Amino acid sequence: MGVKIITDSTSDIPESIISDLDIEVVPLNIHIGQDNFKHGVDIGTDEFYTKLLTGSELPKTSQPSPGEFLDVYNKFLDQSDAIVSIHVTSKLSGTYNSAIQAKSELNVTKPIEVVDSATVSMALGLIVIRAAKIAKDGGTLEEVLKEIEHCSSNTEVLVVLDTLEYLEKGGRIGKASALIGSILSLKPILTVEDGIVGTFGKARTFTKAMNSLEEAIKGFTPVSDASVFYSTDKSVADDMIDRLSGIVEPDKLVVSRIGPTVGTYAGPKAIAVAVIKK
Amino acid sequence: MLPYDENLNNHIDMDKEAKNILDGITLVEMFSVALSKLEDNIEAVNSLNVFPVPDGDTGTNMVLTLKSVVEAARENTVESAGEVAKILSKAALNGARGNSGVILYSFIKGFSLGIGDSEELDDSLFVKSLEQSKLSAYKSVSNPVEGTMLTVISRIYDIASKSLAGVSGLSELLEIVVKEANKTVKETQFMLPVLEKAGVVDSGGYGLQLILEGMYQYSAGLSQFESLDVGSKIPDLLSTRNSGLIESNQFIQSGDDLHKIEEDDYGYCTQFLVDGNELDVDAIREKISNIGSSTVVIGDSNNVRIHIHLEDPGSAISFMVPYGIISEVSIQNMDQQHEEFKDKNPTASNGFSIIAVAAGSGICELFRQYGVDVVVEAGQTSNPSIKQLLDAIDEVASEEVVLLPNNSNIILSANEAAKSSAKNVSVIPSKSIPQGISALLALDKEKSLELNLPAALDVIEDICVGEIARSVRPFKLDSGETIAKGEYLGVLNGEVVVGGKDLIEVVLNLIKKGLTDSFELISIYWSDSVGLNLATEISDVIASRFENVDVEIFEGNQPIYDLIISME
Repeated sequence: MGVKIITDSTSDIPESIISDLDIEVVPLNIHIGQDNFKHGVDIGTDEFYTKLLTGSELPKTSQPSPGEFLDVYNKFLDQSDAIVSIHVTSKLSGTYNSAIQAKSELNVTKPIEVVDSATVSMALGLIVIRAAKIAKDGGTLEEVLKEIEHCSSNTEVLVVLDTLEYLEKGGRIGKASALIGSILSLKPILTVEDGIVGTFGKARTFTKAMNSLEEAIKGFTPVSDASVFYSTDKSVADDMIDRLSGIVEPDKLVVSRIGPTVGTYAGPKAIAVAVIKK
Repeated sequence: MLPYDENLNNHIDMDKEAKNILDGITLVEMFSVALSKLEDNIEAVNSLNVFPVPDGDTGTNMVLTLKSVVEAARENTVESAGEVAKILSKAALNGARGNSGVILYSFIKGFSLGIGDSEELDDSLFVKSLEQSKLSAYKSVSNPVEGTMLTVISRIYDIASKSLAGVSGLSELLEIVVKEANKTVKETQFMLPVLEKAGVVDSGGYGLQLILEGMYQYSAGLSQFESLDVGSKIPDLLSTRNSGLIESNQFIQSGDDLHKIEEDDYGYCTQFLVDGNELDVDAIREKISNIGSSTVVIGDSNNVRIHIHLEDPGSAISFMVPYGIISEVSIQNMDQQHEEFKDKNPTASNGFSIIAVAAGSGICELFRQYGVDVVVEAGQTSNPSIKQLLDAIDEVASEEVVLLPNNSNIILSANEAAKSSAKNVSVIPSKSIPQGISALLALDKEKSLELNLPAALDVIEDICVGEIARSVRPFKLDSGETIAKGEYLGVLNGEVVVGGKDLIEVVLNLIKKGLTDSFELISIYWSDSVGLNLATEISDVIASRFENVDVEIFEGNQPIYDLIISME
């Protein structure tokens, strides 16, 4: 029994950790032209990026239906004492709302806590991992929620995009809209602030943006957990892992891939780092 | 023997008697003659620019600086020499342009300090003035370099103080001073490697010599002075070989000297005037800076204006009471201001303003688009005056200001403007337009300046800057190749490295010299003389020659430089 941790596919947690920690991931839907896919179920990451880069239409994403959440909650209610369902920021996706609606449909005595993480991708992923570790060690609902709260308020995420095109066309540009229409070509360094995309900085070249990212992350030390995650270019991720070696114990550094849901907006060659500050 | 010695006596005999004592009126007349002398030889001074591109010429800058001084004095008919000297000094502070203008301001300021409240200027007060000129000139630059105007000022003070006892009056003293200046100017060529290499004397030193000659001419009562004009001989010293800029490279401020970044600029902004006697501005500045932050102390021995941020405004006033009479007290609660400002400007809670100096409509627009509040438009060949910079500082909304000079020859004026302003002004010593743009992109107005400034200072060094302009005189490259007047010169990070007739070839050679493997982006700002079609062609050629590099072109409309190129 114990606490069951549920998240959604925007968390981009690597498969091995999902199975180790027994995390349940509810997939978002990816729509490319007439085709509909479920993230992680019937479309692979490489296949997705090929379609993103070569297809004539940009993909779209949609939240899981409340019914899909109902099914998942019903399945795990029998097997656990409580459910903690942690999701992508409600300001970028309707996923949290679907989960809330599903919860309101249920008339059960066991507690279901639906949490708006106010962040996305591996920043959400790191929080979910920490919560799942507490749950796996037999932690109570209160202990799990306390851990989530602590992690949420200490999470930082920065991302360098090669282009703002996907974020803009996907309608998720937020405060970074100021960078659109720039005369100079810029490599934006973005963050997630209060649940929406914000601008952390801007550079003229990708390397300079990487330098800023590295410096900013080093400014967050000491950190307890970190993740380097990328969309298409593993060499860029390896470079960032090198740059950040030493800021966190190697086993606390999660290397991950930005999956199809977030990839729809991040586009190719995106590189990001999330940390939980000590 | 100096070339003009024998002629000197002829002139003295045929002219009016010497003026050895000057009052306010005649002091202004003396500076007017000095201005005419400088103006008559402006081209000779300009031609001494080590760098044959007319960007911020020394002669033009010095003439404009001195002109503003003489014009201000002419508007005020004052009989007291001491009063006039104060007017001259204030006008020079406002009118100073370029590095040479800033040193010239120090020279003139010396007169106001040296003459003090005296009604008349004589030889001994002249020596006292030179002493003050020397002190303030050396203080105005963070790394004084010999072989420049500074050396001339220093040497003429030395000779004047030694000669004072043996001369009959000001006129004779000035004659000795002019000879020493002439001798020193000639020596400057061998004092600075960059001058020796170029085979020229220091342009600012020569400009100062001309001013002293004008002063001597007036004091000696000489109406004709042509035969004394060593100026026409100076350009003969020019060789076609050169490198670097005197104006630009010799007085560059190190980053250490930048306005201090304050930890907590909260509490009360306290400003007041102190009227006293024999006030030591430097000592007061040093002492009072211990009790608050953002300290600005300016003034002279009689009047000092204090600006300080601190928690207890009373303590600053109490501190100054022993020094004199306090007036014009202004105390503002910055915490409250800060809160009010935050309420009104939720997105700009830390509010600082940015000022940039730029030329060319495209480039000015670019600066505005990326957050510059006021663009000070630089003239065709002259640099903006300190007054223009101060006006811009006053014009912007915030008390905290970042100033981007974007030209090595404006950095000193920017520093002077920062020092004289009551606002907290930080100068980012950007030496070119691309450096200014890099700094600007690193500034985020939503964060405090304190968080921003270190990054903005760092990034200006991360960029390789090329500039292409037409040479105004024949020029010999290090390779031995001579570039004819009117042909293109390629300047890389302030040094002339390539040249030739064909623009595209010069661009490609320049890029080859500057480019390293780590560069990803080449940005080209084109002028009206190049135009979009040629700029596009250049961009295509670069893209085809250099793989893995993106090329972007922008309409800069800048004067002087056909192309400005950044590699990063």
